[in-house]
Amino acid sequence: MTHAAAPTAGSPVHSFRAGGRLVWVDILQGIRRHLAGKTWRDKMLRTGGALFGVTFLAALHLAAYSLVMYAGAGYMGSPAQVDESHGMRDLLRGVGTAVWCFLLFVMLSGGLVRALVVLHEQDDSDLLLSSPVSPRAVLAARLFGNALQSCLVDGFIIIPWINVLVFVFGHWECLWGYPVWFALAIIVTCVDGLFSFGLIALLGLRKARFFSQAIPFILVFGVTFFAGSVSLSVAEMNVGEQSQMPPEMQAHFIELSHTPLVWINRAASGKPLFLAMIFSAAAALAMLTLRFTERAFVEGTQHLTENYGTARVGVADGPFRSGALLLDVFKNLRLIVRTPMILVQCLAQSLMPVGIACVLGRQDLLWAIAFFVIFVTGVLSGMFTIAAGTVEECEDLLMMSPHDLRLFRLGKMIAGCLWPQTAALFIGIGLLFTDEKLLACAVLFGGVPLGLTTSIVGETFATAVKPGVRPKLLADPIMMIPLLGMQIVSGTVAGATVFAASLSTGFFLLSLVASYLIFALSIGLAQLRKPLF
Amino acid sequence: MENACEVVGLVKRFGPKTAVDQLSLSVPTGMLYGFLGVNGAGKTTTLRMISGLIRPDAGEIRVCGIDAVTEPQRAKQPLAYIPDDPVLYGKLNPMEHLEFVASLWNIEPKVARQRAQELLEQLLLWDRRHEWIESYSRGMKQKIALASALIHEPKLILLDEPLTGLDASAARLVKDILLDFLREGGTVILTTHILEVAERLAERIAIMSGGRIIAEGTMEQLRSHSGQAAGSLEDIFLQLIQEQRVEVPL
Repeated sequence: MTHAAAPTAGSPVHSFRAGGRLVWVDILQGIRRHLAGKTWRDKMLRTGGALFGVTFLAALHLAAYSLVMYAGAGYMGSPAQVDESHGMRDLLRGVGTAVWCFLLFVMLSGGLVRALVVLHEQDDSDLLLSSPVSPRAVLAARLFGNALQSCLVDGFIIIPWINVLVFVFGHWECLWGYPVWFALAIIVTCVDGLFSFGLIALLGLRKARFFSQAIPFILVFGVTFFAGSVSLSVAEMNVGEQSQMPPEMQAHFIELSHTPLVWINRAASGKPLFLAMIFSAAAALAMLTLRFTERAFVEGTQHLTENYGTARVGVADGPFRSGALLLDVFKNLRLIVRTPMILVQCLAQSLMPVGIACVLGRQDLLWAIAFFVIFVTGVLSGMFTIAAGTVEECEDLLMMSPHDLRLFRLGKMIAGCLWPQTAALFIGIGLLFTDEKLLACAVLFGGVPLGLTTSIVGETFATAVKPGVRPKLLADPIMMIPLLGMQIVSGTVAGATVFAASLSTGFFLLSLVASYLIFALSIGLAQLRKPLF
Repeated sequence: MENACEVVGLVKRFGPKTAVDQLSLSVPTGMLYGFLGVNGAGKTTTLRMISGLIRPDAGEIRVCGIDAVTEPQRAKQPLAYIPDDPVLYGKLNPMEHLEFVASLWNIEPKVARQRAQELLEQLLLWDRRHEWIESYSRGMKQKIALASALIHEPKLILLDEPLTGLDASAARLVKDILLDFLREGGTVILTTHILEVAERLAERIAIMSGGRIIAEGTMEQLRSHSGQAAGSLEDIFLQLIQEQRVEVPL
């Protein structure tokens, strides 16, 4: 072994190249993680996932097309109070601005958790920061990767909108939407990054994580409340009976097109001044973030190593005996309660539909309660099941367990379902004493299969708990995808069941059949991925 | 003899706790230097400060003559640091991993490939070069971590508990590689709880307690310091730690 002359390292060019390679390594690992597994089950699940993704995107393209047509037809059919072409432009600008603002909101709310995980909890910091590459280059690569991830995760919102404007309506200038989309992701990443560093500086890492879990969901609560109000207003406008946007709604969008938020939409439609503003803002924020957070980034990773490195051992009290399913269940219940992070998340997740439920409750309280209970049963059953497998002590439990992984999984699912299902049961029985017997049946027969479904899905898709493998925390971006899926499914099932119950018994029975089909599907998917039986 | 690493008056505090307190040491080039101490003595913090991962609150660090506090990036060039639980990129194969690590030290890709091949052959991993690292055993991962440290031909390697969790043959292989590295003029600073390893390999040993070095020197010097003429390192270590505890009750 000979010692070569030291090459020039740490120069800006080297740092730039090393940062680029780091991003590539992250992407490569991400792709391989998704393509891992060569069994027929893995292939089938991948194909199914891809088909679902394509169908979902196609449906969103159709929705974007319908939105443009609905707005356009609405304007054409209403008495023009302003110049026709001018009014139409403002209306579409307002609709476009609403779509871009929704994207911005989703990026911002999800980005904070991602910022904490990506910037402060990466395992490879020791390797990267002990190399001659400048810490600023490492930070820049991390921020860039985070922005890229933000783009990919939230892209389903904006891609259909841009594509429809460009390829269906021939607005080729709207192709600028793609770079604007990335510039927004950079801005959001920097804002979230600065905010996360600020939180850590003020509260320390543990508390910062705690709050970062809650903040996005509080934002979502606000939006669901807003969305609930909007849907109520829309309902009052009798939209269902019209194929065009009513004038009152047009007025809202036209109003939106006269706010500063419209700048994003104007940049996305290729207006040079606004493009320059968006890109300059992204560049300036990126430079500010790098300048002000480099030190905190380096120190932060070390703070993590010094104070957060090892899992607490032996916190779970009592012996864990072989074959004792009941002990497993109680142990998991205790673990769920003892982990504040999980409780905060569960509380935050439960808050999400409160907005809609409150708005519904203005018209019919029981209707709102039934919707809320079914939704929460679905979300919390899944979350508690994930929680039972992600807490730090889980590794200890698995080590102590008699290597019966299937029993352990069953214990997790039972522990996950137990409380939400019990609560649903009591509330369902309570509703039986009111006049709304159908709503009681909706809670009892709609909430129960939904809870079981999300529990199975949570156990099957959210975590890979193996002895000796450090469990992932809920903040992990990979964990957010199953969580999002559970929210969407729970919201849809809760909404559909309660709505069907309010229509007729026939519709209600149909919705129950659909719920049980979803339940059967979840068992089938679980059998493919990680057999339950 | 030129010092590969020189530390003067090093201090690091984490809140109210002083992890490293006025620590000074010199490690001459070509030496294996052992750092011993109970958990929380400040060994890892010291290594992390030398490797540039933590900025000291006070004191000076020179790595191969370069001031690591004022010129951290230049000081990291001749250095390699392997933490006690090194993180490898599980979804890369060893060649990809080593090439990426080499790129961090600005090694030409062609040279990096050649060096990676040599190291993998030496570590008996060449036949499994197409497999992802996540499928490797703990010992094999430790070998890859060692190869990552050697890929840029460092002059000084800092090792934090390098033999933890290794089986006898893997531990032997790691020791052989370190001895080869020393023979060729490299310098190693290692922390370990396996006192036999330190006794057999290290030319000089520092024993830390409460962030300070309480004894330092060759085995002979430590024996005379502790008054145990025929004592093993374990005896000396335990006696010194016990004395320290009596002197500074917790």
